[in-house]
Amino acid sequence: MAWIKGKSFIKISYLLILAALIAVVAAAGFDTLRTVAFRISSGFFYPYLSLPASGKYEIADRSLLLHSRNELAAALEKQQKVNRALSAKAAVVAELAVENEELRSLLKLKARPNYSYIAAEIILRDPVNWQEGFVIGKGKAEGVKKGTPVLCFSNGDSNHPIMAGIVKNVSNHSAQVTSVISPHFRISAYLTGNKAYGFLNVDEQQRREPGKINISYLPVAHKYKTGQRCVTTGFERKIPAGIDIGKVSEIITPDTVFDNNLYKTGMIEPMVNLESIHFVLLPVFTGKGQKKER
Amino acid sequence: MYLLFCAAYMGVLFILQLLVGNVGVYLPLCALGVFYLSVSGSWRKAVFVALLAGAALDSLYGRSLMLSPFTFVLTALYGQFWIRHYNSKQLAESIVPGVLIPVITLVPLWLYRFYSSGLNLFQIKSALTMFIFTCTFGAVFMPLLVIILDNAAGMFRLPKYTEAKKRLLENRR
Repeated sequence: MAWIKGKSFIKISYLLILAALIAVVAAAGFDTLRTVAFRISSGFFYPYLSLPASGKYEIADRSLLLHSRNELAAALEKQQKVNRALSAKAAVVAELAVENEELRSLLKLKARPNYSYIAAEIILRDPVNWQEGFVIGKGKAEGVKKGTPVLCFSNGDSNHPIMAGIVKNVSNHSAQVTSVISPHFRISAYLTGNKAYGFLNVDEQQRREPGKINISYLPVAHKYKTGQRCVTTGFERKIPAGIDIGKVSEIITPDTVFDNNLYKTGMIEPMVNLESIHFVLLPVFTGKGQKKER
Repeated sequence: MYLLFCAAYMGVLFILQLLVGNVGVYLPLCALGVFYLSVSGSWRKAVFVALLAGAALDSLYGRSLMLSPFTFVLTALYGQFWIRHYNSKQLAESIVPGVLIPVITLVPLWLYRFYSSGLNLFQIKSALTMFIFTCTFGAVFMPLLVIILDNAAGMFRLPKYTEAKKRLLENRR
């Protein structure tokens, strides 16, 4: 009887050690497995997730055939007018860009970084974490890379891009985006007016408020006002400088004996309306521009 | 044949849950499918499917903490508890798991959300409204799911949910 007890004790010990080893390996491989799981499952489910969007565009294209010739001709003329206006604007901008490059080379300034732009549609959102991230229908095949900023336009104003998030993970035809409201959205930020730099979501001890972005390590000597614009700094290689993130909604001054009194923290109200965002734009960094030789 | 049937209905429920989630509505269709599988078939298959479906769902949504595999496995085990203590033939009784399964799947998700994103009245209100809606949906949808899948299983002479209690008692004799 004692011998049987001893044997079952050894068996139980082996099982416990095996379970502990499996738990350690699973915990260690969790991050890798999560990334791999996204790539495999998004690749597998992408045809089904993109089906509603493809169907929608197919129906929209077919519905054009229901219009009369006169209506189609009028719409075409209107669109040609818009295109002519945009071509004129683009020609002016192209001249300005050439002049800018010449002046930069005369002043021996560093070449401006070049970006190409990818438009994408949101194909998947988590109903529980609706505002904290989404999945777009463009991936590696279209040139999207991890860390690429994701922009949108406020109220359809194409002259005013605002930060919506950053690409967290990429598969062949889709990419996961962490939105500006997510606690995992961490970049440097610049407050215009004060010319002060800070960092978003880096202080884990800071109180979180739903719908707001934490900013910390703001210089304590500056005086900050609510409503100040918060923009990107350009310190991150793939993120252009000067893109609006939000406006300052609160500044917290350290006032206890336990605070270090070196920095201030605050809250940023994001400009992007994540409730109703559908289309985004991704500026993909393609390298520094070439210096013009005289 | 039974595996194909399970794969087919779990696949449909999974895609439906993703498509409905795109408009901001959370429907625990996968969890209800896992519960059906656990009661009508084998709990081992249900646990395997639960782990697979939960991992796929969380990885697609990009959730930082993968809670769905655990909540789906709990749902599968709840199915076994259910069949041992209640009568699967009474469709009206399936309203109770229809109400409890959304609670099992949503509570961990919302607790993690409160921990990571902060807690205020607006968050609590959003959580409560989501709970009430999904529990009501589960209460209505679970009996419907049982009727639809049992009819489909009957066509292919596969094990049915409503006969699960009878099979369990026969196996015990």
